[in-house]
Amino acid sequence: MLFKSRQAVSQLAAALADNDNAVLEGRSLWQDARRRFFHNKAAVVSLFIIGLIILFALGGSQFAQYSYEEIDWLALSDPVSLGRPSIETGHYFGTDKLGRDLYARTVQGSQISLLVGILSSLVAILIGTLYGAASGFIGGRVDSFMMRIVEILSAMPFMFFVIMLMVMFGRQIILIFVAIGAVSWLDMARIVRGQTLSLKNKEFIEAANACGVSQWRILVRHIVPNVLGIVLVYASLMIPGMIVFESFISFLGLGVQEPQTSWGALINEGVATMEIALWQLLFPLTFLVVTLFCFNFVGDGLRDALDPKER
Amino acid sequence: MLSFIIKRALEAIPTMLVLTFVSFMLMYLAPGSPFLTEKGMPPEVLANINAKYNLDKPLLEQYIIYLGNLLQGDFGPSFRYLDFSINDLLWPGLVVSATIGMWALLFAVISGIAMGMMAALNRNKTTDYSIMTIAMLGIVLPTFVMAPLLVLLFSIKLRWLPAGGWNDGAAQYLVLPVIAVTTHLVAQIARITRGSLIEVLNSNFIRTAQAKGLPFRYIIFKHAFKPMMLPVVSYLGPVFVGVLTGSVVIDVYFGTGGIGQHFVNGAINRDYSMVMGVTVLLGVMYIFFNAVTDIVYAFIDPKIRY
Amino acid sequence: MKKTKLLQSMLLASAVAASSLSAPLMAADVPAGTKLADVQEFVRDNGAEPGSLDPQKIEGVPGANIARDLFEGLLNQSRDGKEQPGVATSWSANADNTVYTFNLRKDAKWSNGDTVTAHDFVYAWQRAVDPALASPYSWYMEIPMIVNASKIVGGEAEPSSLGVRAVDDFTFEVTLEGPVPFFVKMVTHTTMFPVHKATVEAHGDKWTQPENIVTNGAYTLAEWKINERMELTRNTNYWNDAKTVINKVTHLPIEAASASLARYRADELDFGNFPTEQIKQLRKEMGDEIYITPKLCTYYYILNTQVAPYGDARVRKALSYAIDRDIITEHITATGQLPAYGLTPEIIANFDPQAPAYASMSQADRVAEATKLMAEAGYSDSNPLNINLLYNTSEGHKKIAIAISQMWKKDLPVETSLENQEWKTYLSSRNEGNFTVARAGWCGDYNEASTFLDLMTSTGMNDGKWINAEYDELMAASKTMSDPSANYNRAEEILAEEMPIIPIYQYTGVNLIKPRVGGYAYDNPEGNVYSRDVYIKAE
Repeated sequence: MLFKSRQAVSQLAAALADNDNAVLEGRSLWQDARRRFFHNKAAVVSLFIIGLIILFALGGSQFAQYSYEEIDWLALSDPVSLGRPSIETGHYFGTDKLGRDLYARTVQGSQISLLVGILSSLVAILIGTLYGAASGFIGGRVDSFMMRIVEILSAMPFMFFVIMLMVMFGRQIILIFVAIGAVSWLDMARIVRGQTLSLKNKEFIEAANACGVSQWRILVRHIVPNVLGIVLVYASLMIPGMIVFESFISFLGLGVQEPQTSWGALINEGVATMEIALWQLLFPLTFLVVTLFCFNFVGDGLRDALDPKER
Repeated sequence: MLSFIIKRALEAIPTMLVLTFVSFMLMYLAPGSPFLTEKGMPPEVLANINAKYNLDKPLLEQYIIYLGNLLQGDFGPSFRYLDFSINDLLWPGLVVSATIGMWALLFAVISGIAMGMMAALNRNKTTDYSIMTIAMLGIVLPTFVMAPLLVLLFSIKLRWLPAGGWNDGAAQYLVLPVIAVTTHLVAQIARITRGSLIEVLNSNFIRTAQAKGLPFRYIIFKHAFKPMMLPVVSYLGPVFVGVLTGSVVIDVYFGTGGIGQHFVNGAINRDYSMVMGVTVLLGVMYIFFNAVTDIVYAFIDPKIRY
Repeated sequence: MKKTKLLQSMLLASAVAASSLSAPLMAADVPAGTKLADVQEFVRDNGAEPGSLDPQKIEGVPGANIARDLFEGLLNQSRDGKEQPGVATSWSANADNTVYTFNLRKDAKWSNGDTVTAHDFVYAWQRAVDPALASPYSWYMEIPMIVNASKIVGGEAEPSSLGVRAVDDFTFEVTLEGPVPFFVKMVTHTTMFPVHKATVEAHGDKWTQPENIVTNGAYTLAEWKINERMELTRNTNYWNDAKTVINKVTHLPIEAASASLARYRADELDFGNFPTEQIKQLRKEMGDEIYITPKLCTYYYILNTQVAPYGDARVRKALSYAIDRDIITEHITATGQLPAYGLTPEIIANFDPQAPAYASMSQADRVAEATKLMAEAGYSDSNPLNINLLYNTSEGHKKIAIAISQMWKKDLPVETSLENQEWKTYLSSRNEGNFTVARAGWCGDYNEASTFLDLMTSTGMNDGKWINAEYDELMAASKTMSDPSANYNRAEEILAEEMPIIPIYQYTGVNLIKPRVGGYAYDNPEGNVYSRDVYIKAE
């Protein structure tokens, strides 16, 4: 699982990088956006920090003196004094209340939290974009029917679904983000549909139509790249939302199975001991807070950069 | 206007049917049942209980019975609180959650809009960054961290406010829960306001107004305010429903007795009728608030007419 | 959730024949010279919201705690768990201990002024077994073998045929199908409390609402806000009201121990709870407010003997031996628990369990033995045993499961994956045998070893489906023995040899009580406390 999740994150990072090159290059719209984005200091610094945190999640365990699940039996006897953060004992972040190395656990928790955030957003965005684009592009009765379904699904309490799915299918991490992703694509679908609809009536699409460009080509060459901007912005704001939601699920005791952990699970444990062992709260909380901040700044930066009104 | 309301009401019927059906099936298919206990009951006792609560009938028949009762406004008996019907439990819980939610929303809207406007008008300056940073602290600190921190500071150290309880909504019991929820909402509203105002300020009609030499303050409040509010309004409808269910952390930590705890405990205890009751209630409220949002939208946005 | 199990126990009566008590009546027993506070209000964390306040429907500790304040049965319990006069002042049994007669006090009143009569008890007891009420605790009436109880619950007889009778207004008679020596101990339990017939019939399921309820205990219900608070005010019609000190009792259903501690520290609770990891800190801060008392409960792991390789006693024993119970009780539960090597807790009445042989071995020896057994069973580092360990969602269970999985991993060729399920899913997995190793705990239904040892008979709550003919015979034979200790010891010996379950520790009850609270019976072995015994001292 450890290996798999690491692989998944790195694959994702690679995919994103490829995507950047493929889409951004040679299009003035994207070049513009990139220029604007890199002028936004907060966004650039945030992107850099996110990169560091991903690196920490992927490679941090290289520097750990303990595995994330093994108990330091000596520290267990008195975690409050023997489990303090210390370079000597090798517990850089101290230990949790069971004497497990908090550094190794934070690395592991970072993997899970990032994975949950990124992959559930990916699932949601994939479904939402496809559904929304199809609905808007096809139009007519199909469109109104598809949108009715979205309406109905939006009225259902999201949390209930996630809890029931957790209860029914156990707590595999894969299912957590598939479940969360599968019920949070609705907004994405609406946004993409709206965007598609307005694009469909734009002059350049009509021009393409008049020139006899095929429908498929119009969708791929004109609609999708234009929708991509908003998807990207939405994704950058969805990931922190998903990370927060995972922490809420952990609070309910329905999160990942021990000995695996997540920022939410670590924070939830840390809160209980914040007065006697503050580090147990502070380290995971710092990671969560910094990550959420950075994603938000990146999201704002992207939105400002890609906003058509700015052009 | 009337036709709009009738149309919305008619649309709500299939939505509610699908909603109740899916939730009902999901709930009943979950492992375990409301009367499953560790010791296990003698089969004849369990049979008596199942007969009393119609649990011995086929699932579809149970659903139809439930729907029939629901149409008469009867949410059924609770499987967890045997002395109560769901009707008895839902309304007091809703009052608690709605009170907290409404105050929180009010403070969040006022402070969020103010912060968002200040940030937008000082765009990319220190004021902008510091406002947005403070606002965002509320988003990034999970409620289950915020609540104990507030209690530690205001109840245990300073002894200013009670650490929990509701006491029919007495002011001092409201403060901490409302703060905990408000901080979570402010940032979103501030961000939306900021983005929206920036967009509005860049639009042609504002440029025209500026070109005419109108005072800036006048432009902001007379011309920019209404269109700026559009995205904020459309955000508030669904978020209110979200605040109600999301209050489970507040309910658990502050012992307020709101609807969020009912919902989560209902799902975990397999209190079928409780979960169904909350689902129906939230579904109706979601539809209602969306309709209200659309109406408010129409008042603000001259382009939309029903 | 975890508190739904019933602890109320029925101490096995040693002397059951006719008895009439002259012991002091329980009531707030304020020592001379104590200065009482002006405001006599008692606020306690009750752990969870009760499912019901209807005495016949209550199942679980939170409901029972409140019912003891609201209602009074034939007998009460004293501080040390002995039976004391309640509504009944005296009782007697016939020669073969099958017919019991209770003489009721004439001054017992309901909160509306009506007199409490034997008819109220007849009505309540018939109600408890009535299929129409479908009480989850109707099985409780079957245990003492009251005439026709089982038939009525099964729908084969009318509730009116139950073996209870009001000889006159103040004489209540119960007929049993066989001599059950601990019957008298059972009547202190909520299921056997009286209810006010006219009120129940007038309001149906809603008769326990504050505006409807009529009670015969020291308090009556003033307010009930689900998941928030329940307020009880003094019942001025209670026969011993003059001796009651507390005017208002508030029960708060606080589920999170951290929230309970916060509110206790904010001085909103007189009686609270705390997360166990804080114990060291709290000892320094408020050591004299921490009360730790042994509880009649055992924490253990069940092995599913129907699934390979857990049918192999060598594997079961190896897993048990490799657990260092001292580490768990000293550093993880850390609040006075005792390690458990057998199923029956040491504080059980009338039986002194012999520790099995492996209890006195050193941990190193146990690990050596475990290693040997695992090797014999064919497991090695190249062929490790993969265990799935099931526990229900709870911070405490989680910590123990993590520690045990690491102990196994350290010393044995074992890899453990942990599976945490919420209560109902966990119960369903256990019931359906859908597990290999599962966490379990048991609190005695009564203070006698059979409440534990019967669990492992082939008809008991034996989710691991372990079957042993000798064990079944020993337990069956013990039922009619005057001193079954020998059988119990042999049964424990079999458990140690076969290890169908892995005993881990014996529970304690841990609470915080403010110094201003007087008279709180924290040492009652079953945790049965009556708020009317409590008083608040002036500070």
